[in-house]
Amino acid sequence: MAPNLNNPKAISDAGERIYDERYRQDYERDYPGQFVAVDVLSGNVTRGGTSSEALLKARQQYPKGVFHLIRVGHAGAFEVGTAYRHVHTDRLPGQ
Amino acid sequence: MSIQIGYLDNNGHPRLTIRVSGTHPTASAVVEAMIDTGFTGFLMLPIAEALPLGLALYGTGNYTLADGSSVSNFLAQGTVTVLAPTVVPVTAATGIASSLPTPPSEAIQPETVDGIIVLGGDGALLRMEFIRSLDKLLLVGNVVMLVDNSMVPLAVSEMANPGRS
Repeated sequence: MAPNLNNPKAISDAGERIYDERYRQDYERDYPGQFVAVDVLSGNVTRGGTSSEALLKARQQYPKGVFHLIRVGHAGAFEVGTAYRHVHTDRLPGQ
Repeated sequence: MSIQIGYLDNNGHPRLTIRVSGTHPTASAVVEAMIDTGFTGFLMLPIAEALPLGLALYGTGNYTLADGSSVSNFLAQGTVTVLAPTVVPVTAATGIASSLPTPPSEAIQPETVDGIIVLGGDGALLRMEFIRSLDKLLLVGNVVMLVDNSMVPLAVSEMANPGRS
């Protein structure tokens, strides 16, 4: 069933679920640090060395796809750098 | 060879003046983006600033925060052009900049690159993937400069052998 595409959390949850079930085990062994765009409508994935590369390739291959971006081996596609872990949360997105 | 010049704002944060555009043929926004090397990603732009630009929406990505929690954001494709600064650098007002070497004007050129924009936050934030995608070295001191990585060996050579080139 397709996720609610109006809700970024629903798209994200669907992408994470597909990745967990089909790709995580192999990709964390073979492609650590790479970016993966998961098409939450078809379950297909596209890899790239950067977020831009993965998503631009994904759009070319699956023009009607809705993608959730994952960085292999990381909790999120983007993250606070280690040097910033002490900073006040007003520097962080969504705060 | 090209150089892009930024500035330090009143809080000492490095900023670049950039133009962001999307699929809309005439819409673009000029924003004063802070360079934030402590975060991964390309550019974060508040949704209110992004909506009029017609950025191509791709999907979502999660941002992991310092406490380990994550936030889901929409992601879009956009084009970023680094412009000459529209804000007078603070250092120029203090006179510090006048003592620094000025790049030749022909070397100061706009640079344009496509990338994935995270929609969210309170202000425009340029991040490490942006610097890398331009193949630039970021210099932050009394001035802010993006210089071609290819210039680094020349600069090192000049420092080692001053006056030979």
